[in-house]
Formats: sequence, C-alpha cells, structure tokens
Amino acid sequence: MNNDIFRGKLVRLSAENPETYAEHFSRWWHDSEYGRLLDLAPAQLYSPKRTKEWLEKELEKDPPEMWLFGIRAQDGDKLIGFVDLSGATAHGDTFVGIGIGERDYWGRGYGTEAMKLVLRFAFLELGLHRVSLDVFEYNPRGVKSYEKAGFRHEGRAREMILRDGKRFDVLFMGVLREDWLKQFGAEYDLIPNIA
Amino acid sequence: MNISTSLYTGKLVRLTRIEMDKDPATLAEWSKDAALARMLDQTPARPLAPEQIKKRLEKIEKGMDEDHDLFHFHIRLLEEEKLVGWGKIYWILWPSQIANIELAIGPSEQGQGYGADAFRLLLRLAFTELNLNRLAASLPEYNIRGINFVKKFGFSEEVRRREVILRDGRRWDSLLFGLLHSEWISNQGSMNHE
Repeated sequence: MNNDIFRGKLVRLSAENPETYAEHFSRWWHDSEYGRLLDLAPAQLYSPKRTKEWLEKELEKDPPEMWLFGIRAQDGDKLIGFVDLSGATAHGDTFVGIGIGERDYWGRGYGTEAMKLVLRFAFLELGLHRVSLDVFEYNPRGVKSYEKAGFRHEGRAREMILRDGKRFDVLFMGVLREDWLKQFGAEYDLIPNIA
Repeated sequence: MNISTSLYTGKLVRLTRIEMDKDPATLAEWSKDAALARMLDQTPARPLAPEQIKKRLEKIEKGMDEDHDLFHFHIRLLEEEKLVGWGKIYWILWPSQIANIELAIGPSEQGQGYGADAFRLLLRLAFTELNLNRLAASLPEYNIRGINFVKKFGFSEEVRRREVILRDGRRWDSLLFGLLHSEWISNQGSMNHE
C-alpha cells in the first residue's frame, strides 16, 4: 500500500489554516480573469475576514461536506492554488473545483498534477464511483488539463454564460473510477482487483 | 398575449402560492410512494410527515424572499383549491439569463393534461416575464415519460452524465436538457401557445 498519496512531483496537496486560505483567496479573486475562469456568477470581492469566518465553519464539519486542499509547489513550498471536492452524493458522485491563483504557475502542469492527486484521493481513499466537473468554453487550457487527468466529455450546455456581450457554452466532463483505474492503475502501482 | 393576459391562469390549472395550512398534508400523502421523488432527482426518497414538509416549504418561502433566484408555485385546478402539483424556476442566474425548471404532478392527478398546461405557463413566465434566455431541466435516464414530455416542449438533450445515479442495483445516467428563448419562440406556432 502506498500511503504517500498527497504528494506528486510538482505539487503536494496541503492543509492550511483558514486565515492562510482567506488571505490567498481574497488576493486571487482580485484577478478578474481567475474569477471568470472559475465561476459562473460575477465575482464578489470579499474581505479575508469574511472568507476566514466562512471557512472556519466549513472546515469544522465532521465529516466534511467539502474536501478542501491547498496546492503547494514542491519547489519552494509556495501556496499556488486550491482544489476541492464538494457535495458528494449518496450515489458516489462529486464535483471537483480547482483554481491556480498564482499566474506564474499557469500552463506548466501544476494544476494537472494537483487534479490527478485529488482524483487518486477521490477513488482510492473516499471510494467514489465518479468525479464530475464543468468548464467554460473559453477555457481551452482547463479542458486540455482535465482531459490529461482522465476526464471525458459528457456534453455541452448551450449559452449558459453571457459575458463581454457574447454567449458561451459550459462543457460537462466526468471520470469513472473504472476508466481511471485502467488509465492510471499502473502509474500508481495498483493491483487492479484490490484497488 | 398582452399586458392584461394572466401569467398564472391556464386552460385547466393555475399557478398559485403555497398554502401552509393545507398543502403539507397533500404533499405528505404523495411522499408515501417513492415514485414521484425518484422520477425527479437523485435525492434518496423518504416518506415525510406534514410537519417536516411544512418546514421545507417555509424554507422555500424564505429562499424566495432572500435569495431572489427562485420562483416556486403550487399548481391547482381553476375552480378548486385542491393541490395537484408544483412547478419551480430555480437557480436563476440573472447576469447570464439562465435558470433550471422542475415540474411535478401528484401521482393521483397524472394523465389529465395538468402538467402540460402548467408547463406552458411556467415557460411563458420564464421567457416573457423573467426575460430568461435559457432553461435547463435535469432528468434521470429512467424517467422516460419526463424525457418525452420536455422534448415535446422543444428541449434537446445536451449532457449525459454517466452512471451518476445508483438505484435498484444498477447505474443510470443523469441527463440535462436545454431550451433557448429563440427555440421557444419558433415553437410557438406548432405548440399552439397563446
């Protein structure tokens, strides 16, 4: 059994104090492109205090409703983003959200590796059947990263976004445990029938 | 349609507010059978007592007041107070002009055209009063009747989320259907809307 499941080559999944998340989230949301890639709703520029109070309540819940991790770059241990699994259903499905707030780390594989780590956590530790996400049509870098992590396209909800005077689609993607094991089982030295 | 046309009155049914005194008993009766709940979504079905339902309805009213992203109606016959179903336009995201739609008709009230009449009212309200550009309906793949129903109103299948639902010992897909304002307009002739 490999128990070192929170660490990859480029990043590790971390636990952070609410105030650390709060300070970073507040700063990252001030980058409007980050917010528009992450959320359908227009950004609210919350204070770190508000975010801290929300997270203190959220992170206290046991069992958690939201599995939130910081993403730290292995080189220098800088906090560069977050990834979370929210709203796991009674049927073994959950939605994943990911954001790399530090622009220097965009397009270099950090997010993809963090996503791969959180999928491993979802399938091998939480025992989920599938993981879902949605991504906006104007975020091709995101789509490519999710494809690399094992997600497949499941459809396109038309005209869900109105921004800059144009309408954009939202793409839905999902990865099934069974497909993920076939694709990554060998990479993680998993013996298929006990994985 | 003009400004004096009632948004809430159809040929058979009308859209009304929640009646806290009487509706919980009817909804509790419907929840004794899992069929209605299982057709709607993946939330595990359970029988609910009138008092539990009342609390949920109060939460819905509070949500309508405070969040401004929900229109929730109880459906009644034109000349009767009896509850026959509910309909809601929810998760409204105003900047993108989008929302989801849900319709449910009580098990004992189905097959009499109430659903179609209520759905016409809900669509008209969504597109001409709320000025939405898009409506989405989410349905489990085993709800064949619901799927045919929304297709009849011009919705098309957009997303098939594989194996999301585990029920009766097997996995089922969850489907998302979408209808754009432009499609609703061009369907008006063939659907015989007013």
